Amino acid sequence: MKKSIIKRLFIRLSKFLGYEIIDQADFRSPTLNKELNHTLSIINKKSIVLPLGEVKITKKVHSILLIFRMNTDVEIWNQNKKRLFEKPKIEYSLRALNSLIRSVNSSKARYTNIKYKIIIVDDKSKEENLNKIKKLITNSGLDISITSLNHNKYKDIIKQQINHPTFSNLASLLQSFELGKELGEDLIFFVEDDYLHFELMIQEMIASYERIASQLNKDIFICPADYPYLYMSNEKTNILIGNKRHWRTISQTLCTFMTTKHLLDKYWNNFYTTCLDRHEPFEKHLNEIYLKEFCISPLKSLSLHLTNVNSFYGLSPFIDYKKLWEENKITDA
Amino acid sequence: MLKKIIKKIVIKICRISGYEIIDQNKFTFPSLKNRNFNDLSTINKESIVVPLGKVEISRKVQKLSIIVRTNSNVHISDQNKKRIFNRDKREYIERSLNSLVVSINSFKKNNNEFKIDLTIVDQSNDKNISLKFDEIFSKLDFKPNIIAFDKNELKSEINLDYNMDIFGNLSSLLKCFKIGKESKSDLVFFLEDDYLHKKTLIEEMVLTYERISSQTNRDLILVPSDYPFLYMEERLTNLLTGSHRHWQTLDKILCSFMISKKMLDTYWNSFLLTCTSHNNPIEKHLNEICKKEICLSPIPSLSLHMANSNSIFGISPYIDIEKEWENNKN
Repeated sequence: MKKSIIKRLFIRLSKFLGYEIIDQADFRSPTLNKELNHTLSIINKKSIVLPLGEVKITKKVHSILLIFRMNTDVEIWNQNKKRLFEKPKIEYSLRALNSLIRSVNSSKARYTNIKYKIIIVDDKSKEENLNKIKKLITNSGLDISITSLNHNKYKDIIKQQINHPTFSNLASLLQSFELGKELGEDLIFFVEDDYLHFELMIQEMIASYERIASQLNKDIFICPADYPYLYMSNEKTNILIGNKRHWRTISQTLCTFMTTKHLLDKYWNNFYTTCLDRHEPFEKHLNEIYLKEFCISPLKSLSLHLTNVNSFYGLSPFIDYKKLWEENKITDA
Repeated sequence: MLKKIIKKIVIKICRISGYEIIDQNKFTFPSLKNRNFNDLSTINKESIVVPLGKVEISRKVQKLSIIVRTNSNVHISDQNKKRIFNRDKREYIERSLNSLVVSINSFKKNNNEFKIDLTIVDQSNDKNISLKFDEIFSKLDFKPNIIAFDKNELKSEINLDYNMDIFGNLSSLLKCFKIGKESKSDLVFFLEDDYLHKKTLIEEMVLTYERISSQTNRDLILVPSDYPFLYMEERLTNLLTGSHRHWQTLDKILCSFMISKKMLDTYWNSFLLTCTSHNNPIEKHLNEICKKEICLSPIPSLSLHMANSNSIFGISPYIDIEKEWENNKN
């Protein structure tokens, strides 16, 4: 009886001091009143990973703006190759958006105080395709709007390109970056339409952002895919502890990544210059940022880039592609 | 019809030429009949990880020796702390061996020709433990070699007070190393009695060894556990793709690891130095080997070190510890 009272007092004292205690015999945390195999982290407050301890969240997340760049007609820009599963491009766009909606909804249900908004930058989809997309949006229960790509706005800004799809690609990227700059408040996630996302992707991106950015006391870039090119060289990396998986530092991304409004503003010149011409590599000026800032990608992948099976920048290792593809099939589109 | 015939011919030519083809339309592997995306490798022949391709296995593994040291009398050597779940040491030993047996059987099911031998170096001197061993090992299709180890056996070789816990620890370690040295296997896997293993442990350790050793053309040390100390400070590492998961290079290990017999012979002096005096850390001379050779651990972990929950050498992140613990109840 006496022991029990002392225990209770100790738990209260620990809570008061901001400590969490672990009862390793019962596999519980009395201060959190949770079993240790449950999620112990509290969004915007603390991130707890056993046995690596607690990180106080100083980089809190209040909103996330997702900008989904879509072209339902061009199979693979700048290539004649086919993608895995060899379907028409609209099928990839639909499943990609569906998986993103599922992931946002799952995150919204868990992190109820975070504001989510999706903007689709559409590059002249056929009406038939656009209707399928609109139907998906209507059933999503999310704040999603469609903006048409304004080619005219960029024709004097972007250098003349060898073909129209290259110009369109640069223009839609610039329009996406501009929307992020104009409407972003906190986290901004630029997403292309050929990635399939795991349902937990957004949750893991947000919670890992909070944990790692708070530890580093710096805003960071986060890429959701574990690309095969990362295993083609002998490059050294740092491995970091995210919310529910390991993450690694990287020095290159494609155009699907999440960052903060602060970093978008700080490196606006790099973002803008990326879109003015076709560079080699395409993301040359983005990659320059990663020489100065942290950029990380997950182990294992949270999103799957559905390219040709032989692409260095495509399919992630150790993922069941077929399962993820089937899970995101739209039956009534 | 013609297309079908041509397809069949192309598949046959690919097989003869040693290539594998992927039908990316259906995501099937016509030259590897009835195989799934995560099960494309063939032991001692080829290791295939999509999309990273095929590695021809040039360093084949025919036989594995597993050597486990057990001691139910010492809860945690050199410490007063308790382990996660605060149970009697015997329970950790039982669950650890259970998980090992499950993993061996799972591997043998698909690789019946592969030879595994198991040696237990037991310091418990406890009849109940011996009976438990009989029960647990009855599930194997071969008989393990159980050695009732008396620390007196190596008294003259260890420069330490005979009555200290650490003496018993180092003497059993030396015994295990000596058994490994006498082994005729290609790989020797030294294990302690406080690790819970995933069912795929043996399969992944062997297939990953083959893959990465063949790629790098070097012998390796593989650690089965993803220890928390790896994330306590900024550290540069290389990430490699194993058979079924990522692996990272490291330069510090504990005493549970798999090594090639060749490397054990090459560095035999370091193994002796590890056991003949009390080094700080105990693994000091083993860590020196890791600085010269390639040493890898899995991400996420394949084995769970059931230490105190605060230990930086203990439980691995992102593993459902309670589930693993319950799954391996005898």
